[in-house]
Amino acid sequence: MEDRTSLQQVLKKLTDEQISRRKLIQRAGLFAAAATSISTLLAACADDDDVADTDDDVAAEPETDDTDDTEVEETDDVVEEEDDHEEEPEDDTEEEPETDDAEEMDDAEEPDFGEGGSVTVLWRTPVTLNPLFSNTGIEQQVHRSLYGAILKVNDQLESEPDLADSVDVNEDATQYTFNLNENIMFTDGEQMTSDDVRFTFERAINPDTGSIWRGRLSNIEGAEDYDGDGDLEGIVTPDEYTVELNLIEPEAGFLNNLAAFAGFCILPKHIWEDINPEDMQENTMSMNPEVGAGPFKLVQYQTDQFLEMERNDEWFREPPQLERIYMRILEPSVGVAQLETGELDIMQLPYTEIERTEEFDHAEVISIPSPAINFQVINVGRNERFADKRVRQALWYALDHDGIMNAATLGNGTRVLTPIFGPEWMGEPEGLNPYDYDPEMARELLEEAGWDFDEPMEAMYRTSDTEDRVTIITICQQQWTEAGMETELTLLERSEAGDRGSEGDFDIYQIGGGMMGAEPSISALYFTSWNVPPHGANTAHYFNDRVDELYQMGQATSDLDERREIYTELAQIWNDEVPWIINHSPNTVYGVTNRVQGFIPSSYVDNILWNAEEWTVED
Amino acid sequence: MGRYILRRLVISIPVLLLITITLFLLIELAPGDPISAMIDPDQAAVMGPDWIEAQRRSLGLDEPLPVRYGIWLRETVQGNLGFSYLDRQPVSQKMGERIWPTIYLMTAAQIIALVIAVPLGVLSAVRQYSKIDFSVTVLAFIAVSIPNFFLALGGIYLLGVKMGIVPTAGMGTMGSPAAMLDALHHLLLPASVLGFSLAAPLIRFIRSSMLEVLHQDYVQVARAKGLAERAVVIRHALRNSLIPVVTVVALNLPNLVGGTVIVEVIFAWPGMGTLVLNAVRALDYPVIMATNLVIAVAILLANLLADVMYAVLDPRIRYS
Repeated sequence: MEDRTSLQQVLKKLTDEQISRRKLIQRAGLFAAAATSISTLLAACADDDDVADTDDDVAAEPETDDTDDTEVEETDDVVEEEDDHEEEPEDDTEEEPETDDAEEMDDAEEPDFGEGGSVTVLWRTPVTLNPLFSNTGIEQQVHRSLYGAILKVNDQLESEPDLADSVDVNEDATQYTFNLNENIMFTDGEQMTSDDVRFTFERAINPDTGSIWRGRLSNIEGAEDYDGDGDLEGIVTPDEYTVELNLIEPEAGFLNNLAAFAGFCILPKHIWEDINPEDMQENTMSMNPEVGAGPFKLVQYQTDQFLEMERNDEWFREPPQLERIYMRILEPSVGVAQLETGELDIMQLPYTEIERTEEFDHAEVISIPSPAINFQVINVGRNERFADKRVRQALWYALDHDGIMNAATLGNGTRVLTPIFGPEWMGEPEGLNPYDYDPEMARELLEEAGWDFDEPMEAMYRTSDTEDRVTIITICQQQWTEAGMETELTLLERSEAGDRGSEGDFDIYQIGGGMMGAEPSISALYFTSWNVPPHGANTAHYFNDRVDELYQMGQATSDLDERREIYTELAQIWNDEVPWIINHSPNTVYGVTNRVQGFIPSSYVDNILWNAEEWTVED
Repeated sequence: MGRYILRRLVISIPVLLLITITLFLLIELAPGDPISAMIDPDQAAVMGPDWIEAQRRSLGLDEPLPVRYGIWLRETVQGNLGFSYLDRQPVSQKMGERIWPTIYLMTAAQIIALVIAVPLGVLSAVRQYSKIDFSVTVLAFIAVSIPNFFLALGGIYLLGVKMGIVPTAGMGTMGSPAAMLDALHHLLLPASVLGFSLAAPLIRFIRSSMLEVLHQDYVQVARAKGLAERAVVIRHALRNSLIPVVTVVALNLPNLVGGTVIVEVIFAWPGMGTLVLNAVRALDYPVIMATNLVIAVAILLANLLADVMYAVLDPRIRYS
């Protein structure tokens, strides 16, 4: 307040011309000095977001006044004085911390974490902390830790008990019965029952909510027409701890669907039921969840800086040993620097940082196969040039896959020949053509198919593509051109490329990612006739009746041997017809400090926390 | 003078309107829309076209452009900046959280810049064509040429990782309560990096401004009076040469609220730059509009301030 009035006085005197320029400069310098100390104080004191409090803080802080007084007394030499003013705050910022360095660093290195210690994990700015609205695994893993999920996903991408102790599936995969643990308490002491589960599913499906789960849950009976009135017919809750989901169509991959990416979290009904579905996303609890039933509790989320969780001592299973987890928001390059100083414990490593990280004594690099693939979609159905499968096979033969993999992932990848390559019960199907690098063969096939060697084709890729994918498409361009298929690259913004993909207005479209290795049925979204855009992601516009039929058969039984047989046949057809070129499956790579014990790396990159309740630290 | 300021403020209103209209059109012209920027095409496919349509409706994107602009203008004039498309949180709250860290960082950087630039600029002008002048010019040249991100990463690696004397990122130590010393310690490196690059153009500016003044007659007169060189330089030359510098610094003020994307992102500094970057990536119209509006206002005010300061400091200049 002081400063504001003094400024007003200055201005008044100025307008009344009662003040000399000399005085003005002097005061201006003073004001600058005061302003800096204020903002410094503000930042230090602004523990909370309440900016309105700041006036009080400033007024209560004697330091500001001190600066004023001492400075005003020295009025001899105006100009030198001004220099002083400018150096004054400088002292604050530069020298003070240095003199107090030793003390400060001690504070920083050994904060009191209680018994279990803490682990710091690299993160990214979250959009929401409400599980109904998140569409990325990197957020969902935190939601799972705070709320608990009905099932969680393990490192091998299989669903595992979390809130539910077990799940029973009927033979034709149309009914799933979840047996909730009977001792689940929310962090406010209320018990979780099947009612909370029903409530969460209904809110997720209710179109007013705008949850991203609605699409994934549309196979539950009555979901399509559900508008929030009354009970959803597909959910039956015979008692407090049992939830039955009835599906319209058989869906053997339903649990996987429900668990992706980190698990379907259950909200406390008694907290959320009074909030209208359409108001849920903007509710403050969506950024600051207070009540959950996960192994950890939210302590604070500091915008764009970090999120802090602490152990939930009342958790219904054996509570975590860790005291705290910090999710730190950093650029990966700075993350590696913090891994080196030990400030960060776990991060996903970019391939280019592997070599450097391997030299750290206190950390190790873990590189494991992932469920994602790098691939190029071929426009099979909407572009005459690629209608002949020999052309598509030629595209694959023309590429040196090991070379591409080494260039893009520095050797951290696996050759994959179809989108069906996992999980463990499925394995890599037999009887597939490996399409080993053979430019001669590519040329022969193209000639047989009557390819027009004079007309170039266009490969589109996106501004959002990661470095390794840009490497891939650049090498593809070169090698296709060498094989006689002159290729031009087009760089597009993501949504524009998406639109062209949906409309079938392209030749080759580079994409990548996904979780196809987690469950063979996931790829149905890309190759079945009912998934043609805008109702699905079959951007290749690939149609094959037998493929449609096999994807349906694969969902209709929960017997794994039967399913393996079905998907093997599917893989063989796919591998021969080549609607996509698959380059490889890039590994997931982690840098982890040795002090973290019990970390089991998830093959899916954004589910680091899946077993965080079992971690310990050794210092 | 008061009348002049008032006139300038009134002129600012149509300028601001024009800026917002241009911005609105520019964002509209950008490829894609917020829904497809927000959600991966594959996931959008799972949601289906109905879901996407519903989302568009709930964001008001189904209205024609002029209507949307009209609504935005009406609400903004009443002080309602709207909700972020991305997380549906109020834009004013999102900006409120982030503007202070930015002001804090940029103020420190500006001060560091002045502390470096004023003495160096004066020194190199006074000793024109000496070794000092030459070194300072080369230094300024280097500082202008080195990109911020390089300096930032280099600083993190050398001072943060290898020597361990400054924290590598963030505004405070996680897990310990907010403390002033800790905050200053975290501020040191990002503010120095920014200050260094802000200082470079200032050094050159002060040098040339000082040179000009040193050749003025009144400086010669001062010397002829037999004043010590130090007094001549500091009392007579420096004070006058700083007049244009004040305006340059004033024109830098919009940066105080605009922030600097790269340095903030690298140092995990939770300021406006990070907010703008995320908003642009997500085509989060309300946030883009609001942050740009704030920056536009700051620029207009800073320009006005610079002009007024000029008149105040230099009695030869009068606005009427």
